[in-house]
Amino acid sequence: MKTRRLSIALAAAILAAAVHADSGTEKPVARAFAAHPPAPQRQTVAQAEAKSAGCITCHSATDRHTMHQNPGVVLGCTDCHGGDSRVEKPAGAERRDPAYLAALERSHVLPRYPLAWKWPSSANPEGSYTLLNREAPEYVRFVNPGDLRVAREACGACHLPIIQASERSLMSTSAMLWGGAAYNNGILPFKRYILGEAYTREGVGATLVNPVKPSDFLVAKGILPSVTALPSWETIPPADFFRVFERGGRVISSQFPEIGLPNSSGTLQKLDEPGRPDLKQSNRGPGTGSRIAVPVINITKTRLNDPHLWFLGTNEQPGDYRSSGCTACHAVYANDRDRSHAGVYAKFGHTGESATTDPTIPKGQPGHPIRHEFTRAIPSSQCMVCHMHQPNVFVNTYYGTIMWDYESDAPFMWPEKQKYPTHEEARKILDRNPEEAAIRGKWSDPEFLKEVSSLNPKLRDTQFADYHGHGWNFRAVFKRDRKGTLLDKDGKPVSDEDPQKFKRAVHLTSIHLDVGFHCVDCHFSQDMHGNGHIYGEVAAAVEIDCRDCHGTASKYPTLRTSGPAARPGGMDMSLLRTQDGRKRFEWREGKLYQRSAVYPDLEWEMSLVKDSVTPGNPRYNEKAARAKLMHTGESGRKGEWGPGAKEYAHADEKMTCFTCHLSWTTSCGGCHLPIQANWKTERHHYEGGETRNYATYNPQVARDEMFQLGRHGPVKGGRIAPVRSSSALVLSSTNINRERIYIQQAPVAASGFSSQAFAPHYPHTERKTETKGCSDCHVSDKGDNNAIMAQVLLQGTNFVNFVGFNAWLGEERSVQAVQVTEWEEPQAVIGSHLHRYAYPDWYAEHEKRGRRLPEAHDHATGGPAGCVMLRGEYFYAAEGPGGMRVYDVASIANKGVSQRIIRAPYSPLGQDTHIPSANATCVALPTNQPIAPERNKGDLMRVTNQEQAFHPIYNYAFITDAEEGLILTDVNTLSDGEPRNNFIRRAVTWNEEGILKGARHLTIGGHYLYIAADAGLVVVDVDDPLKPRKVAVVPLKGARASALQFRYLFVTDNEGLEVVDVTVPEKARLVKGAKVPLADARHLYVARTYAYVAAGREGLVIVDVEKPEAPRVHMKFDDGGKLNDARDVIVGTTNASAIAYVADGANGLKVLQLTSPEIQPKFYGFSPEPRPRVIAWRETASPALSLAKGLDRDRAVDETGGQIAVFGRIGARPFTREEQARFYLRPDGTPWTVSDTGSPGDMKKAEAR
Amino acid sequence: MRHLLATVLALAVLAARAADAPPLPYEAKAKNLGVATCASSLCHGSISEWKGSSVLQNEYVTWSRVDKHALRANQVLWNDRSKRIAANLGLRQPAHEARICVDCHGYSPPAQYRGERFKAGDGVSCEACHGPAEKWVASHVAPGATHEENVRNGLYPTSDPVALARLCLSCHFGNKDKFVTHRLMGAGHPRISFELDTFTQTQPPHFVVDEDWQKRKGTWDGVRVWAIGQALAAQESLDVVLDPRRGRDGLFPELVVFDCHACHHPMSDTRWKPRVGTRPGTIRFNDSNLLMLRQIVRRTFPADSAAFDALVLQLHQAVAGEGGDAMEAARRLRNGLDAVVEKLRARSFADADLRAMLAGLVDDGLAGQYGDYAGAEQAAMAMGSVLGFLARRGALADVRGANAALERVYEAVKDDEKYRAERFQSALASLRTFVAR
Repeated sequence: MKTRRLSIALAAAILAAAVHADSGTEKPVARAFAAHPPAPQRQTVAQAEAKSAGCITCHSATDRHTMHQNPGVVLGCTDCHGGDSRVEKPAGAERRDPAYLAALERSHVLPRYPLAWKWPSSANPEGSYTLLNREAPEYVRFVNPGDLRVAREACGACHLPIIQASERSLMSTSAMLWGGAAYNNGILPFKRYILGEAYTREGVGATLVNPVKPSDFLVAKGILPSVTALPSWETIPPADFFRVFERGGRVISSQFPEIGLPNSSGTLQKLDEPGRPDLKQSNRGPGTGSRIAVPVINITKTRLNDPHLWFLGTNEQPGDYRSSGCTACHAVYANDRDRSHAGVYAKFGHTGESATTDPTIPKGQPGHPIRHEFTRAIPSSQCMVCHMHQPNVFVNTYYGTIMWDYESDAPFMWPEKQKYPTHEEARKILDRNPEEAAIRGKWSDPEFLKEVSSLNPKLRDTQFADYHGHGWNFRAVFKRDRKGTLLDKDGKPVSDEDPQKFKRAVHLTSIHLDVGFHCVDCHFSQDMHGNGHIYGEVAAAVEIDCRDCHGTASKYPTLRTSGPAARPGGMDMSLLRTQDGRKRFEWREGKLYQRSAVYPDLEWEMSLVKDSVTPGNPRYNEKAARAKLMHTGESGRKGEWGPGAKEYAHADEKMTCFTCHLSWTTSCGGCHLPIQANWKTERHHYEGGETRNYATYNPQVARDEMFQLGRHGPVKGGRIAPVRSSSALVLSSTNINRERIYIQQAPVAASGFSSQAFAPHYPHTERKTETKGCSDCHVSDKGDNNAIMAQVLLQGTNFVNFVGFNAWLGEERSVQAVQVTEWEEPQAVIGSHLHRYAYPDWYAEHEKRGRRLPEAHDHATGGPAGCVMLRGEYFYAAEGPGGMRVYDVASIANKGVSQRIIRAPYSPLGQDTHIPSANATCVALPTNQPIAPERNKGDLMRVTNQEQAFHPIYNYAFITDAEEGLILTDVNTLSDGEPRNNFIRRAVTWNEEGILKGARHLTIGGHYLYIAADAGLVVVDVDDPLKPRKVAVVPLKGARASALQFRYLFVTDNEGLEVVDVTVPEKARLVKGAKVPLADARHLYVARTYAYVAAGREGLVIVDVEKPEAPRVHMKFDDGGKLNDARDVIVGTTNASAIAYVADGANGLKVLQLTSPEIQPKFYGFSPEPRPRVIAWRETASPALSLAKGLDRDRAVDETGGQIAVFGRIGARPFTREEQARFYLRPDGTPWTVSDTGSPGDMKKAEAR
Repeated sequence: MRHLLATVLALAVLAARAADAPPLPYEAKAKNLGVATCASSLCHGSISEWKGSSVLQNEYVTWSRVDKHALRANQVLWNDRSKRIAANLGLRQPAHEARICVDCHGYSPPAQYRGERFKAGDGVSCEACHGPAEKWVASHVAPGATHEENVRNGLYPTSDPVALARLCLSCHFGNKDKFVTHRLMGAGHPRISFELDTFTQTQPPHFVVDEDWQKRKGTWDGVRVWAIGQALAAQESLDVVLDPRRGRDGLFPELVVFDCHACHHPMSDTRWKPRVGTRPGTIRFNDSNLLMLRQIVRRTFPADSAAFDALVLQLHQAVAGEGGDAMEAARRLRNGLDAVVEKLRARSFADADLRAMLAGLVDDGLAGQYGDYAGAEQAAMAMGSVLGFLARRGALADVRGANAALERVYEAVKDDEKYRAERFQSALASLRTFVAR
């Protein structure tokens, strides 16, 4: 019996899959549709009733006859839906009778694609996407009169302006997503975006034009003149300059079946002449063959945030049930059982089932609205259907959740037996959930997925949310200290062993959520529908501002909106009413109350800022008063605060409220998009249809502890705001033969900055207690927040760095790439905690191999490679007498290429990326993020896009030579997209007074170089790169290497680890008493509060540098003597774990798991205590000397204010050097410090003025 | 007047009319749908006025932003004074929930007539005046819907001055169902003053009586509304006197119908001055409306003017125990008022009427008739209204000068505690010069 039921279920599933797969190819049924007039604005009740007469013979009851609660709306069924209201239910007919079905056919409008719609089912089909574009508008109107293609006919008589505004709003156009993706990944150079989604009534891609031509004022408000349809991905050239190595020769068509073919006969491909090498760099133009824009495929084919308002929800898993257009929001679906998310609708479950009184609507079937009723009491669970993308929409953070990282509670989420999904299975899963890891995880099973949150009582590492839009899992974020210890509401530690720990620790939801808010309690009609103008940035299109409800330190709220998109004078919030008729806002006796838009019985009192800073007021809060009334200038630096000051340090015009009023921010440190050229998939936008090529979507490092600041664009008043890492991509591409033609390449933004994007944002994680304190942004008087300062100023902490598929080594006689992760997703580090759970079979094989890594590629060098650096497709190595050489490593993972690391992909005549020198000891680039400074020029960048210029150091690679000193070479040719001109030569050689004699290592900190030489540590200023200037020398005995973190440079020398204060580089000074004696300290790496020192025979020495002036050895790790010749070390983060890579001269590469849920329950902390264990290793042919640092993912700006990474939002940017200095330096260059608690008597009333 | 009083037929007509009178909104047997139903931005909640619509469409916004019916009526029930009143009265519920308060400081139709979006906390909301919308909401938006149809379907006829006055006075004076007694005053409720036209203007109105309005709802004459308001207010206070239930409070009559300041002044203040036949130490019936009505009657029923004055005098005297049965005097006056109202319904006032009434008001004042605050206050508002009508008709030569003089009159009645009849009279003297022109 059990088996039988199973087989029936299976058959149903197969049938469903077949229909889904069929939707793209189903031939339309030819139909003649009766014209149906638009719904009238006015009619008599009798007229309206006639239009429902036949309908209600079957639909004998409904929830709201007109969907509207207002009985003043007089409509009949066919006014909105069309159809024939004269047809009545045949007397006595049952639902399966032919007569009943015949009447149904006559009365209803019929689809052109009955299979795709599963006609006559009334449930929204799964994953329908462009079906709405292909279907007849008459049928679209029948199934959803609120769809934007037809809403003019159904709703337009009364609501036309709001329909028009909605079409132009970001909710429909998604312009922010497309524009951001296009700009940040270098596809289009327009930061005032030009792309946006819109369709005509017939479902054809349309251009939207702003109703008025934007004046200068409107342009400054972020309003765009128009947005236009996105061209199909096949015709868009790749923005990135990754070289694609393809097969040449005549045998073409079979090699390029449909991939990137603007021309279907393939004639373009036939330009290739025979007799060429079998595999070579393509000379076909961009946009052909495999040379296409990966992010564009992603936009058009991979579920990211979409589908948005133009399409139905995918209606297949909790969190994905909704309709399209007006109905998408105003008809509520059951998506989430958590009352704080779904409000009064939580009781309807989370499987999209209806609770309508209409007897014809099946119950227990997903894909129906809860009721036939419009509402403005929209729960945030409905918003979450679209706003669920971790890095850039903030309903998750509002809920206190973040994307799950595949590691926490892995034993519950991964199958015990490794899954080997067939292609068919993989496709089916990926249609629902674009993350490739899902095809191996248990959560690919919808039945498992929808009950994930019921695992919570059993879980050890985290707690899951109850919604799963896109098939994703979201974990709760809890209050922790910097080490990762859970904290309760009083800030007291909660034991990791406490079975009630997740109940005792504070779940960092928004305080608004705790009070009972839903999104619609702050975001009113205009924020939802737009104001009629076309915008490109979400932040510019927001009407509401904190002060509108909370006021400021000096003013009570006016209840008038004042956000960037507010109309002049603001919207009068006191007029607003909830769906059930209550006034939303009301002053009573000096207190402001708001009534919930969703819960009928709930109101709350507003916190008024002015009360909180007014002594004697019952709401007075000294911490708030101190923060808001902190004086500016020297008085403030001394910690003095109080009313009456001329200017306040944290004034509203200087910074956004949420700069401090947030408990955490989300940071998505990168996503991997690996293109599969042979995966035929459907296009989710515009014309739809299937083509080959598909990219899965693989979040890599989503962290909750990163707090960074920058400056918002002018549309937000140029104020200081929190900045998040924002969807940085690394791209990979395979060709039709699944040869990896490039892997894990970070594109470059249109502005030439790195695409490791950042953006100012509003995190929606406000809390009352867990806000930011003084020492989160200023130097602490305890001297313990150097790493925090590096992070907050966006200089980076070297912790979330991305070490991908390969670890890159410099060795005595060669350079080498060792494969350290799986290629499949998740790209687990081989031997790691994640590896063990995601790939149990492969993990077992790895164990069986004695944890040796099997795959590596190398290239001989001209001498010992003492320093190496990877940037994009190029690998830089200082090779002693061999000089400095740049290797081409684009094909490092291409199985069609035998020599994966090469000197010259064309011929030695075609290029030369070698700087000969006497004894090149080290090479460094100002950033390891791919950049293209030459793109950032001209009026488009400087004026229209408001981009800062690159500092000239970014043109160069910096080389130390023990004999010649400092050598600079301009390496921009490697980023100009033209590989045939790759010649580099010396730009300058500098060794004034022989000061750099014996130079052996350099660290770049903005335009200062810290060079280890015989003389000690030499500080050289390269503000004018061609005229280096020695500015300081710190004498040290045998300085060997250094690492920089904000105000301190950590230097190894003959005696161990030294600390040099470089607050003002010109005044660099050795910190006395900070020495950590080590017998043989070599290279070192500082990641947040730990310095990892490759200490030769002592192995890896981990030094706690939380207080840089008082470092102490945390531990020494030599793996039982098997790690006893440590020469270099780097740290990276993969998913939730920190991993160290050690170059050991005698023992090769060692891969160390530093943290994991298993060995360090505090792994979510800012700097959890490392607990190293060796998880993998590989021998090297000659002693390993050096390692290339992983891609920086939290570094947007250098120590002297030079911008590195792209910032979303026009005019937004990281701080300049002067602005950075204001956080901690007096005008005379001496640092000042803060205390989080203040001291008695620091409250000063300023003199009366 | 006498013949009016004697006309049984007329009384019968009046009785029939009273039965015809539409129920006040709170008495109507239909569901109240709540403010939100009207307040949609596509209906009466538009931020700006619509062109080409028969109504402004921004009624909700006006009401919500500036009308005390919305802003203050309910909110005051949360303040300390209201809490104190509730405590003093020993109410079991807080003021914002107690029927005795919210009947007027809000709108409390019976539970079965409260629709799903009806909110008691909205103060005096749309349906409190326009009647429960259940039966007319759909039809009033039908193409070509007329005002008559809407009224037939249950819309309260606020365009009818008598109906309007009844409606407003039901709270601003009180009626059989809701009434601010002297006990309530004693508990701390502030003194109530009301004058229909003045209050309509300061409400402010959320409608414009233009050509279109009059085409749909009939001619609107502010003077008539004022006059009817006075008559109905006088009726209502007499009704209280005559009502054995409302008119008594233990050993005492219901004191609220008497002039507050007759008693409420310090003992040291020996302000008594001779007036309309009463003597020191008696408590005067609050005759402020009767004083206004006197002017109206004088111009409307010149033949009855003397009789009316006599009836008022008899009432005062009887109330003061100086002869006659007070109840009988009140009944006679009350009966006459029905006829006055009936006549006023169709009365139009010429400029000369207005001028004469204004002159009468001022002269009465100068003659010391408004020795009491209540009368002076009512007279000031009446003068303001009548001057306003004249000005709007273009019949006032020096509007600025009149306004300035009126301002001084208002100033004199600004604070009932500090009212001095002499100051009022001197202000009237300067206003007098503008009356003739």
